[in-house]
This record gives sequence, structure tokens and C-alpha cells, in this order.
Amino acid sequence: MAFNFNWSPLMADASFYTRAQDLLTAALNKSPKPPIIVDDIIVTELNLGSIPPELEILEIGDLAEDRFRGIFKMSYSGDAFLTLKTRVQANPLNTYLLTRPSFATPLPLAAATPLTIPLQITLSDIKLSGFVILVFSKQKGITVVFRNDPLESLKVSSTFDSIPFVRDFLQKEIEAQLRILFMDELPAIIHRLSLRLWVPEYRAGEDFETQAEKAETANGEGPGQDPLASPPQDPVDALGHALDESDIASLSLDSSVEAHSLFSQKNLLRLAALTDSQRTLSLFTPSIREVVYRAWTSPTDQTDAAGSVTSPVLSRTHSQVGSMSSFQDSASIASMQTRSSTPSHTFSGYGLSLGAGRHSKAHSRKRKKRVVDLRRPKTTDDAPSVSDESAFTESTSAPSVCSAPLPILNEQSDDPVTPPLSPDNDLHLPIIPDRHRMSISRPAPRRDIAAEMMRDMGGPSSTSDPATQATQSEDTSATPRATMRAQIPSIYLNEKQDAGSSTGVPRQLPSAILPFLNDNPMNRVVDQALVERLAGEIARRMRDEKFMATNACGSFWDRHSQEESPPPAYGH
Amino acid sequence: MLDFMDYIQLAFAEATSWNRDNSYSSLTATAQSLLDFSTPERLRVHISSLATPHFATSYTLGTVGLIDGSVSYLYSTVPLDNTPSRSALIPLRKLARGYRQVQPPVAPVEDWGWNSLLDGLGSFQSTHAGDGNTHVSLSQKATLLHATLHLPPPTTLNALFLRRISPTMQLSLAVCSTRGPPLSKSAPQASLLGQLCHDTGKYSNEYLFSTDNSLFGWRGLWNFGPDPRHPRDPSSPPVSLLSAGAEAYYSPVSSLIGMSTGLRFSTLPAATETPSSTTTTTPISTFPYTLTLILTPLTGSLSTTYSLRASPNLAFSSRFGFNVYSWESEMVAGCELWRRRRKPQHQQDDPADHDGLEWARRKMRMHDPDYAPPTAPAPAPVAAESDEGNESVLKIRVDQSWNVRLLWEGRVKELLVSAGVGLGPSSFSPSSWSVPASGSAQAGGGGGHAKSYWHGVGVSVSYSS
Repeated sequence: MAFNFNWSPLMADASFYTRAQDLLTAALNKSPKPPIIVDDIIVTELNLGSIPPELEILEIGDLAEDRFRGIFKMSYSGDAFLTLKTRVQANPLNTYLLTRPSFATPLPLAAATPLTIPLQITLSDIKLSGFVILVFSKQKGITVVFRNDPLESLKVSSTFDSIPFVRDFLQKEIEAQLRILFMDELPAIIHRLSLRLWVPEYRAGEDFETQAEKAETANGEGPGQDPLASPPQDPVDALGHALDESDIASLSLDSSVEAHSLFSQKNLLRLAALTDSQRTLSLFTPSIREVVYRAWTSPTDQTDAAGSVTSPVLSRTHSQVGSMSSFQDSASIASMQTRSSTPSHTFSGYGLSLGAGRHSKAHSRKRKKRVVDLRRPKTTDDAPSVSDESAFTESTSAPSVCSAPLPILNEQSDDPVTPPLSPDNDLHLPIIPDRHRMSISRPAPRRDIAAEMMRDMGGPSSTSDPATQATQSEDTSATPRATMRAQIPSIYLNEKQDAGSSTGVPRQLPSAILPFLNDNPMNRVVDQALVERLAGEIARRMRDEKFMATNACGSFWDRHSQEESPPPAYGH
Repeated sequence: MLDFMDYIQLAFAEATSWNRDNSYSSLTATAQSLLDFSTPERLRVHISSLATPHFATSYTLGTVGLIDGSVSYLYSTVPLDNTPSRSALIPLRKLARGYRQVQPPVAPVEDWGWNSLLDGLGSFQSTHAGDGNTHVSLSQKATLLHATLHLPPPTTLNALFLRRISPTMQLSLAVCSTRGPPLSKSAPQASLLGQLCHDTGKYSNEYLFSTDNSLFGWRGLWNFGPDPRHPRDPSSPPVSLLSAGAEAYYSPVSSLIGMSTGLRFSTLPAATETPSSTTTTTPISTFPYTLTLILTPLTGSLSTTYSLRASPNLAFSSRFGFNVYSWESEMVAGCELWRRRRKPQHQQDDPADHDGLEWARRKMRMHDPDYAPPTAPAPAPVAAESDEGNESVLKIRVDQSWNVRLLWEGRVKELLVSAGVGLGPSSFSPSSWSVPASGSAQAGGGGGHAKSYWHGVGVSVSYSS
């Protein structure tokens, strides 16, 4: 057994540092500060350094797919540093008087006049060694507890280094504060970070409710119970299957994280129950709403088949939507450019998954394995393409007719991946000439090459085209699309406006992909697997970047539409 | 507004002819009362009484957070006979300290104590008891005992022992003991502050010692000008007074150190209250005013105040502060306005009017010509007192970051009411320079500073008998 700890991606990710700084700032200001500190402590700089800590596994107490508990011996003497900024009270008499009841103090006339001095402290040369108890649970994220006081030594350099008395005082105070931080605050920070990393709802909630939510949590009282504060008990992937943490771990270990397309089973169940209640015309729907759904979504009720009778249907429709979006995702687009038969593979992939979606949830583990397996054959395997198309068309038509409209409408407004956009574009495709589309869309060269390649390899892909057309037409006919049609021009407008600001990501891809694309026709048979893998890797990285860089939702949308707006040109 | 117990202590100091103002700690009393007044928090009710001339009690109920309260007792060996204790009769100018007219330094009454003051007391007591009792009271020095118990579960006990040792000396011991957790680790749960004051009129010294961190302190004030102990010709009374003072604190345990020096120039009542000297143009203006300059060398701050009483009912004050190390500055301005509401005279004449049935009586009188209206026993003093009693004062102060505080103090019927509101963009702490808004406004994920413009609204109602 081996553990692979990635230390460098943390450094490469800029948004991680900002997040960590925010969390540290909040943690440092949460506990009552010593009275000598008169302002908030702000973390201005944080660097984890390049030297990772050394971990030695002492004991593994519990090891399962969904949980892990172990004891490590950790020693760290790296080059991480941390810079804090605050203001301190330089008049000791002032702090003396502030901490005493005023009755028995000599009320001085002016000797206690405050003098606040801005102070900058840099903590470096941190040496840690201690025993760490690491508990990982699927539902509760990571809990790290230090069994002993891990802080061995650190160097405190501040603006008062020239005054030895103040320097010693600061050293002493900060070491004491840091001990508290390591023992109490750091577990909380890591817990929250892990939740952010793996539980998309948590992150989305934090992104959406920025300041108001912070203030509420700071006050410790939100309006009612915040469902986003707790991690979803059962994360679901794009195909609507419940994930367990082996999948989460695999996703997070290659850090690709299609976490943005992970939906909570809770929401799906909620929607299912809503539609169900409308179908049955039950009158007490709103009163049930708050109580019963949560009871259903609790993990104990998941095995209950009766409670989740309706949910597979909905989750299947969701899976359709989600897989359409993932099909339109940049990864699949990139792979699609390299190979003409790829669209059929993606369809086959989710056709199978849809078939699996009909099963009850007890089989989720097997099903999930199949999903994981199918992601990889995308690059190598050609065989099941034709046979799965029929399944795909079947399954999509059925749910979209019966219960699709409500969730799909929700998708249009909420989800970052806007599934109906691409079919619509595809419908317009024959009408709009290619050049005109190129001029509209930004990443022209890539599309051009892709279109050429598509035309070159038009033969095999033509088999899949009628199916897609058929499903798209069905889909559009089944779901109300008026709003989406109205939205598309505005998205194009946004794309044009934002083209100057956000060209960084789209331009990376063509430059990286061009050589592969050019090489492709020559030794296509030999290097196909390699090319596929490389392209997938590039696309995955690009998606990671994009995903991590988008804290604001607007830019996320814009970039997505930018990626998706020029649809792959299907050969005719 | 002064607490009732503070008012009684003030009365005690007056009764023992102790000049509280001749001290370095009251060098900026005028500016502090005009600029650093505190507004009440939420609702607070005081009920006090001076039950006997020697004994006073006070109860306080407040709603700061939870309901809290305090019980205080005070015992004085000096009878406080001449002290008005009814809340309707206490002069408001004594409770709401505004502009303080600095009095010329006076020499301590060398023979105030057990000869002059207790002459009356001795004769008073000799009427009651024998000679032995008189001897006891003669040897007894004026002493005040005062204790306050703050009642919500982290109980705090404040106790004060005040004793006049000699005509020029006063000893005070203050104990504060709390059962709650201390505000910092170094703060003990109980501390005792001893203070020995020596005032000769020309100069005054205070020596302090606190058991908390064994803090030593010294305060001194020197009045320039003629020595009041050796009075010369009273023909030309001094029109101004220049005083200089300093204070220093040192704790050998925690190496606490602090000091400040100050200078005050003030006009004396002789400058403005002698209309005969209008021909000889005095260099002093016709308004009473006070200038102070406070230097704190260790922390590099200097502050100047200028207070002016434009009329008996209007006073202004301003303060500028600057710190040479941190370059922080402060500007505060404030004013107080006294209003005198005169009631119509006929209401004052008839005390029976208080129940609001005068119209009915008048009607009865119209039909009953034999009815003789009861004459008010002493209309003139009642009118004068109620004229005093109907005063009210409005104080307002504003600083450079637009922290505004408003305080109204006055009398509603028999109650002394003080209502105040504080509003401003940032939190205000008394006697501390407000941190510039840029520094404290946005502090990352702090979130603790809720941006509320209202700081405190409060009403304090007190009744005493």
C-alpha cells in the first residue's frame, strides 16, 4: 500500500492561498485576542514552501472505502512562511487599565494615552514534529488532530527586531498563540478546506453567499439551519450515482475533480418528491417539504427502496443532462477533436450509465465501477458504440417526456454547465455558415482544424449523427426552450465582451493541441492512444485551472459558453 | 450625570472642606466633562436614599444584556445634614458636571476638624449624651465607608474607605474583588488601591500604590502665583491661575511604566465677576476659559484643550491630539447648553394644583363664595427652588470620524432623567483615540464589526429621597 501526497499542487494553486488566508484570518480573529492587540490580525502572505513534511505511518486503525483512521508521525522543517499584519498597543499602562475594573485602578490623567503601532510579523523556519491522528470520513471530511504540541521552534521576525525586549516578548506570545492554533484552530481549518475541496455544495454555498453568509456564521446564528453548512451525506456524480469516497479520492487524487457536475442526491430527492406530490395532488406539500425530505435523504433511508422509488427516474433525467454537459465539456471536446468516433463513445458511456440508473441504488457500487471504467475506454475502445446508441435514444426520450421539464428548467438557471445550449447550437449549425461562426467564436484556429479533421474522418462519425440529431430534436421538442433561445444571444454578447479579458484559457488549448492534431493524420494508428491521453490530460488541466480560477460564477459561465459556442462541425 | 453615591462622596468632601479639584487628576476636568461624557446604556433605574445624615443606600437595576443590578451602602461619620438628597431638590449643576470654574487656591482650613466643625457636632451630641461620647467623637476623624455589590453571577464587590487623617491629608483605600474570570491572565481577582493625598493649596501630591502588579504612582500639582497659605493684600485678587502637574507610574513586577505632564491656564472668577474693573481693560477676556496642554513623553502624544463658557448657560470645548510616533491625530468638539424652563407662576403658587383638579375647584369656588382658598405657606422659596429644578442640560460632542454623542439630562417630575444616544461609523471607546476608519473598517474575515451606525441608546432614571 502506498500513499501519495501531493505537495506541489497546493503551491501552484493561487486560489488555495487566498482561501487559506481567509480561513486563517478568520481563525485568528475568532478567539479573544490578547488586549495588547487592538486590531484584527490579517494574514497578508502565506507560503507553504517547497519542502513537504515527512510523514511516517505509525498505525492504521481503520481502513475502509469510506473511512480511514491512522496515526502518523510528522516532522517538518521546511521553508514555509507566514506574514501577519496587525496593530498593537505600545503603551503598557493602557492595556493594564483596559484589563482591570476601573474602580480600584489609579485613573491616570493622560499617562495611559494609547499609542497603536502597526506591526508586521513574519513567521518562518517553522519546525514541527508530533503525532498526528488523521481521520477521514466520507461524510465528514478530514479531521486532523495533533496528539501532542507539534511546535518545536519557529523564528519570529517583526518590525521590532531591534528591540530585544519586544522581540522576546513577541516570540513568547506568538509561540503560545501558535500552540493554540495548532491544537485547536488548525483542525477546524483543515476540516473546512477538505469540505471545500470535496463537497461541491459546500463550496458553492460559500461562493454564493459571500459576505452575508460570513457575517451570519460569525454571529453564529443563521436564519434557520443552513443546509449548505453540513456536507451532503451522499455526493452524486454527474450521472446521478451516489459516490463513495473511493471515487472521490480518485477524483481528487488526480485532482481533476469534475466536482462542479456533482449533484447532491438530496436535491434530486427533493425535486423528485416535489414532482411526485404534484402528480398525486397532495395538498400538504409545503408542510412536508422541510421535514420529510431531509428524513428521506438521511443515509439510513437510502437503502429504503420505497423512499427512492421516484428518485431513479429523476436521477436518470439528471444524468442525461449532466452527461450532455460533460459531453460538451472541454475534455470531451478536446478528445473529440482528435478522433472522429469519440462522440459515439461518450454517448455509449452514458447510455450505459443510464441503463444502470434504472437499477436500484443498492447496486450503486458496481454501477459506479462501470462508470469509472467507461471513462477510460473512451480513448481506446471502439466496440460498444453502435449497440449503445439505441439504449441512449430510448432512455433519453422516456424521461424527458415524463418528468424532465422541472429539473431541466432548474438546470438552466442553476447549473454551470447549461446542457440545452449545445443542442440548440447544433440545431442552428446547418443554417449558419462555418466561417460566420468562426468569426463569432474566439478560438478560431482550433475549431478550424477540428472541423477539417471532422470532415476528413466523416465516414465513421456519420453513423452517430442521426442518433444525435434525433435525440436533440426530441429533446428540444420535449422541453420548453423559449427561454434558452432568448438566452443564447446574450451569452454570445457576453462572450464577445469578455473575449479580451478571458482569452487566456481558450488560447492555451489550441497551442498545446496543435502539434498533436498535426501529427495525427500521419501516424495516427500508432500514437493514437498517446495522443488521446495527452489531449485528455491537457484538457483536464485546463478544466482544473478553469475550475479553480472561477470563484465568481459569471466568468465561469462565460468561459463555458465560449468553449461550447462553436459546436463541433459534423461532417455532412 | 453623577451617581448618587458619587454625589454623596462629593458632599462628604465638601463637608470636610477637601478640595477635590486641586489635584492633577482633575486638571482637564472641564474638557472631560464636556467631551468625554458617557451616555447611558439601554435602561437603567437607580433608587437611592439618604436615610439618615450618616447613611445612604442605593439600588440600581439595568438591562445591559441580561438584567443586572447593584446594591450599595455608604456610611459617613460626618453628618450630611445640609445635603439635599431628594431627586427633586438636588441641584442639577452638581450632578451634571459641565464647565468647572477653577477657584483660586485656598489654604486648607487648618483647624477645620475637631475644633471648628466638630464644635457644632460636639454641642449637638452633648445634648444627647454625656461627655464621654463627645470625647469619642472628638477623637474620631471623618471617615467614609462605601461598598457596592454588583449582583449578576460574576459578582463584583467594590469597597471604599476614605479617611481624613489631617487637614491636609486624606487616605483612601479602594478594593475591587470579582468572582468572574479576569480580563487578562495577569489581572488578579482582587486588588487594593491605596491613595494618600496631600493638599496644601499651593501644591498637592498624591501617592498611590496598587497591589495589582504592585504598581506605584505619584501625581503632583503646583499652582503658580501667590501662596494661599501666606495671604497678602486682598486688594487685587488674582484673575488667572497657571498650574503645572505631572504623574508617573511604575511597576517593578511587570515593568509597567507611564508618565505625563500637564499645564493649565485658567481664568478665575475675579476676572469676569468684577464689573468694576471694566475701565482698566483686563488682558483677560470677559469669558471664563481654560486652556490645558498635556504631554505624554513616553508614548509621544500631546493634546491641547480649550474650553470656554460663553454664557452661564453655554459652554464650548475642543481638544486636539497628536501623536508624534504614530502620527495619529484626534479632534473632538463639544458643547453644553443649559435650558431653564420657567413654569407659569400661578401653578407655583398653588400646591394643590398638582393633582390637575384645579379647574374643578375653581368651579366649586365660583358656586361657593364662602370658600377660602388655602394659601401657600411659603411661595417664594418654592418658586426659587423649582426654578433651579427645572433646568436641563443638553450635551453634544463630535469627533473627527463623526462619532456623535448626545446627552440630555434633566428632571421629569420627581425623577432625574438622563437620556443619551451615540452614533457614528466606528466604535468609540472613552479616553482612547479612535482608530482611523481605514484600519479597523475592513479586516478580512473579521466580520465582528457590524456596521451599525447606532452605538448606544439609553435612558437612566434615578429617584432619590
